[in-house]
Amino acid sequence: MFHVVTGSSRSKREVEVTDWQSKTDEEVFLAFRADDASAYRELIERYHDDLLRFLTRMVGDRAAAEDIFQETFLQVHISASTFDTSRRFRPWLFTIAANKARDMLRKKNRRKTVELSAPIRKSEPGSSFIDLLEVDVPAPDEAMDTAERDEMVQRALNQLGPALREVLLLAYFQRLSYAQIAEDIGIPLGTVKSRMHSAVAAFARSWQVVSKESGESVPE
Amino acid sequence: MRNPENQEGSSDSENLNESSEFQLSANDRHAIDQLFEQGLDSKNVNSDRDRGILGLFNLLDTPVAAESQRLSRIDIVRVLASRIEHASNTEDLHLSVQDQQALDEYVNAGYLIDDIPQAHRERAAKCELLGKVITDSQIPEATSLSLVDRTLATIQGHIDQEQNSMAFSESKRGGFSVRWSDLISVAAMLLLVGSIAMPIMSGVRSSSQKGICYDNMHSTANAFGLYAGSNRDMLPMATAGFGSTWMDVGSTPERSNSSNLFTLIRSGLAGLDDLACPSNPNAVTGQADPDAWDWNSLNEISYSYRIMPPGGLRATSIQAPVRVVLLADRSPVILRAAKRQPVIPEENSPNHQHTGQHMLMLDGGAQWATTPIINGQDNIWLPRPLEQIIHEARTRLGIIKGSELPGDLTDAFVGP
Repeated sequence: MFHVVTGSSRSKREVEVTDWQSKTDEEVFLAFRADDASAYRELIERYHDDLLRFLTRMVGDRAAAEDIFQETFLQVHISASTFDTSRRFRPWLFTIAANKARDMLRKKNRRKTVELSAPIRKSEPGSSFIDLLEVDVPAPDEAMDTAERDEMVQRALNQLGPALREVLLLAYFQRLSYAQIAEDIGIPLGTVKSRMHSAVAAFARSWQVVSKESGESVPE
Repeated sequence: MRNPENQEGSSDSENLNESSEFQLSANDRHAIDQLFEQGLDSKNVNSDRDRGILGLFNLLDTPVAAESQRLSRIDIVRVLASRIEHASNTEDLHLSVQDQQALDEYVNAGYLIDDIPQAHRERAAKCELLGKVITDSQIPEATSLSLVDRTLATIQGHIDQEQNSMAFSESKRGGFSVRWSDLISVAAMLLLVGSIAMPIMSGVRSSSQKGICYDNMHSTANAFGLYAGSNRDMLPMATAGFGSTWMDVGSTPERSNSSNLFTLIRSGLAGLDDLACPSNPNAVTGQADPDAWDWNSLNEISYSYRIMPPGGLRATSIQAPVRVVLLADRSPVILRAAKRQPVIPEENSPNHQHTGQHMLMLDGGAQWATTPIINGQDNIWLPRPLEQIIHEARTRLGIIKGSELPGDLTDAFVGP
């Protein structure tokens, strides 16, 4: 029987030939360092979705995220010999990616742009505190147009300053502890904590505004 | 922020935008220009953006006319600047104390809700939901060359550039002067870089091409599956059978097996790109001519398709589809035969520097093989009767045993 194979899937026999799936990121990286070019393709494919998602959220632009994705792996290639193989590959990769994204945002923010249709937060007294229980967030299985939700999330994230966005994304995408984030970004632990609090509050507020604008029912 | 009053002397409103700390987005500039052209008539307002622009003019409380366009744009920038400052100042937002505690516990518990005390679990669950909203987005498939291949190509470009930059450069002191010590240093560096970069460079390029080729196999597998699904499990076929030959590419479907494969393109299930191996310099890509039935010539073809028996082949009629090759990198045997050269039965496809070939099996799986012999004895380039003749000839005639001598004094014959 003929089976339709999707572009991203791999046949069982192909897996037997390369057998990368049974190997950890660190093992694949070591194979790459030993000049196995197919190992590098494997690493890039492994992180394609996760890293691209992280970068798109970070810089707010898919095309720019793809550029940084390429720059990140180029940097990995250039710095391969400096990587301490006793450490985990994933945090190293994401740290490089976050640094590249930060550089890009820094350049971009020298010339700030803003959409006139972007939500403006009201500044009346009492609005600076957020209670998460009052924020309506859709459950993962809730029926909602994926493209629409993606666009809403991005609009909400774009309302956060780069510093808050970075902490928020590093935490949620990498599930890092406050101490690990502090080490990665090079800021004090207390600052990470307060930034994370502000970031969650700011995102919850932006999400509320964006949802309301998009006709979502948000209980106040 | 700069004082907009100081900028009024500017003679060009575009210069104003260039010199401002803040800049309107291109969409906003376009919308503003359009609204001005239409006389800022509220009847022409039909988007949030337009409403925002008019709202800003109301905030300014300034009568706006087309002739004062430049001044108004200065004001817009000023208002926008304050808007940006306001919008980006998110650090003045705070979580409630309970939310802060719940968030800290959630992070400290390694983002595991179950490990959080009951009192804060509901709030921590909100934190988790917010995270899922951010992280659970879909990444759309790339439409052109995949990001993976582009990334590999970027690295390849970097390696190439590194090599080029190793060329002599002008001395910082001015004129071009080379000392023996410079020459020795550069030569040493070239040797080092050459020895390190060359294997990586060729490896990455070859890997990139193989990767695209492998993806082609999967795309074509999909196309085969879709074709079979709508044609009673039949494999693509352009004609009921062949006349005298099946290797006359670009003639008529009755004389060309490749026109059978081209059926996938004609039916819109695959594109020329899907059937173009990047290792084939003559492969054609882009939009296919809607009237085309076949490739123009043999050298344009990247993949060899199973020779169809008269009447076609039903995919479900074969007992062991996992062992049957449907498509492979182009056959070196056919290329040699077309040039009337002796064939080398065990030769690998020229697509990947004769290192091997991809094969798409009838069950839809693709694999890389370093020999054209599959299942222990079946040569994919040859039909079984011909394989048997070759096998018998080899058995009967044998190979060099080590006892043979030159035919005569003029017979060139060398040994170990």
